[in-house]
Amino acid sequence: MSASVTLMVWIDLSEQILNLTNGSTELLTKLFPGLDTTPDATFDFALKFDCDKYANNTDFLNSISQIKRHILGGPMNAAFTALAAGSSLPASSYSYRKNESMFICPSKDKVVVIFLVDFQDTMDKAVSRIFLQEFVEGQRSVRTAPPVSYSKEPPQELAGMKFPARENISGYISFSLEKRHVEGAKKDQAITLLTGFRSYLHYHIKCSKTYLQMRMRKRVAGWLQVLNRAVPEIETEKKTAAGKTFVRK
Amino acid sequence: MAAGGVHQLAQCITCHAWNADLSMVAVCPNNNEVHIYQASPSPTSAWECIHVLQKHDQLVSGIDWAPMSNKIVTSSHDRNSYVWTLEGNEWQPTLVILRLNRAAISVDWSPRENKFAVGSGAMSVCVCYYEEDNNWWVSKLIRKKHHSTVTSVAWHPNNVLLATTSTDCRCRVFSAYVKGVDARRDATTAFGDIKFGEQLIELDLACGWAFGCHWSPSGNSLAFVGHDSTIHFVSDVGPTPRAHSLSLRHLPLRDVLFLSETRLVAGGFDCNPMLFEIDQNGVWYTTTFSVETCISIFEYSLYVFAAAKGRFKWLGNEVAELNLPSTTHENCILTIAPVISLVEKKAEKPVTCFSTSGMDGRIVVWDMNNLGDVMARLRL
Amino acid sequence: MEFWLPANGAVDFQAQVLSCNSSSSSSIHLGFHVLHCLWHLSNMANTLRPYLTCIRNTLTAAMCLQNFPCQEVERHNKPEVEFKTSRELLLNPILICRNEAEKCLIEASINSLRISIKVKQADELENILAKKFLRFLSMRAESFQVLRRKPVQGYDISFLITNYHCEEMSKHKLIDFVVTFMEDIDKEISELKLSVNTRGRLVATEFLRQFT
Repeated sequence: MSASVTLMVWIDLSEQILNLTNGSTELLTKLFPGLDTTPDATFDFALKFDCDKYANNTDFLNSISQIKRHILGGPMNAAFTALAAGSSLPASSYSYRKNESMFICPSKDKVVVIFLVDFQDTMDKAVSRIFLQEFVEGQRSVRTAPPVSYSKEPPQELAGMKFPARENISGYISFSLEKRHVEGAKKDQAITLLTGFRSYLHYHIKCSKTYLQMRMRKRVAGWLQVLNRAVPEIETEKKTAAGKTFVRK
Repeated sequence: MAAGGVHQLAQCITCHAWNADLSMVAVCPNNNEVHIYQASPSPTSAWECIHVLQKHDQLVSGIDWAPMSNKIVTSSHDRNSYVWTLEGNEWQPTLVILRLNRAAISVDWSPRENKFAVGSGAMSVCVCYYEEDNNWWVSKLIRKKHHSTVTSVAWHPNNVLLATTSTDCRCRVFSAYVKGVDARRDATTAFGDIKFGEQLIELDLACGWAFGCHWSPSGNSLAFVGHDSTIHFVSDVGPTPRAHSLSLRHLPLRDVLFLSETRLVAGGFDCNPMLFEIDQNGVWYTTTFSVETCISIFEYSLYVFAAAKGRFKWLGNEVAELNLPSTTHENCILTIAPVISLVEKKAEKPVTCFSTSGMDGRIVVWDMNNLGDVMARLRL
Repeated sequence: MEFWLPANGAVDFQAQVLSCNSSSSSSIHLGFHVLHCLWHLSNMANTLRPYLTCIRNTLTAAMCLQNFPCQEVERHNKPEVEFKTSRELLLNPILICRNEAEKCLIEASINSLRISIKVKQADELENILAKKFLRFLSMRAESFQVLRRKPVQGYDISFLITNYHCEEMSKHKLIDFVVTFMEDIDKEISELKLSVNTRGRLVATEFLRQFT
């Protein structure tokens, strides 16, 4: 018995990524040799494989579940490999979501990965700004981590690049990965982290919002209680109040 | 014991009045009804509602009970007044056409009970008298003299002078001499010959809305309160009156009552009656801020305990204000009524007992005989 | 007009609170003048107490309300502070400022009282949190009887207290509510903001730690 898995990747960006000879295609070919097939209309990439054959192949199943990471991480993989080898590739940019982009700016001794982060909701936007700022602060305490910088304006690495300038976004966050961050097994770890960065951020913003909502609800209930306390107690208890006056004799 | 009986009758009481022998009290429980209670000023008495007068269709704002004729007059925000007479065991209403187009605010029987006055939101005062020919209460209006709602009306003991207070901050004295109803000799007063509706005095003493005017038993003095926490005493009411104002540090007063020529009680938003007295030089002063200031240590400890208990109950929420009212009334006092029987009144005895009602729905009867002891002790 | 107030608050200007608009003829022509009270204390943290005390005292003086039928429209009984049909029934509005960003406007009339509060919003997040909070409250306006559905222009939240509220609730507890609310909302907003920062720091540190 055979089955086929078809994976949809976002049209506008997958095309961009897949059409570039920057690592994604190579990575996919390496991981899934001979399995890619012609995708259906509206899809950009498809794999076809025999379920029975791979049923017990955990590595394969893991990598197929991480296909998005492989596609997004392709360019990073290429840049990091080059960095580890001591060479460098030209800078490139990918819009990984609508209105949000990722930039890879390799230089002699480091690769700067820059995310243009934005959220539609004003609350998300405000929380994300605080979180992004905390990445800069947090890096100071984690010495081994790549240097992080955050700004609302495009950082200087992007000076020569062309991308649609947008007003009032959450900001740009740059991770400067040096050779020590991409050596050996660290490379895959770094790619996984960076490709998951946006989702990680979003998840925690959502959690934060839930918490805020919960606390506000509780506080509002508290106020309501204070207000309700202003209404005199029920008749039966009022008699105790009258009893109190009785005592006043 | 300062406060006599405490009677929780409703959530809020707009006004109340006693009958001639103090066996009944008429109360408006903040709606369109008037409840008549079998009552007694005695502290231990239990009051029982025996009649419900339903005719008004909006809030009843004023009640007055004529001691001699045993008639009740009520005024209401529905612009009408009713005169209620007891026939058999039923109170029968007679509609009084006030010719008002705004709410009636307050009502007062004249001392001889042949007239009553109604203050209104139409910035006018109605003086109503009975026409026997038509079996009908006729209303005569004093118009265009007030610039705002008339908050209270009070009859001079001579049955022709009428004092009013208004939210235009003034207190005025009018002639309410009605030809044919009052005797011709009544028209001659300290002001000379007077005609109906003539404004005799206008007092611009308060910087806030004026409320609750009241005449002294002789009619020589007049007192009213201002919402700017002032109380004003006018003596020698005539062409050259003398006024004396007191500014208080407390919340505004709402109503006043002369107990005698030298003693006056007032109550209001401080929820506690205040006692005023006049000295030999004719200067009014507060004898005590609160008649309840001297509570025993035992009571105080009870109060503190209750407060602490309350604090426990609210644990978790930081509301631990200990400023619970320690007064008998827990909300603003709206009306002060004398508790004096017709017999005593005719004997010209001073008022020794009065009752207060207010926004907390309580009627409290205060006995001055006991208060006198407190006063005496305070003065030592 | 600017008033320097002693730290013990509003007791001393109770007369000012309760004096009627029409009492001085000039105020009729000049319209309402607003008392502007500013504290110039060096330590900002300590100004909250006198600010709230001042509000509490002003409210105690201003919340002397009574049933009062409309004198312009027949058989109506409406909050005068909202309809403003008769000028003489309104009192001078009082503005109590802690600083430019935090102020409280108390408008009183014979039968109603309006308290409008401007909450401190130092940054974007505080602004959003304050808005969220107030939206939460207005969603529960049914239960918060004294809440005005729409805040007075220029303020974040308004309470409308009428004589009916004073009749069914005890006055000092009603004032407690307003003061507690004002005390809490500042505290709560800064705590919420702190919690966002703390979580952000944790999220960032955990993320960055995994690079090794």
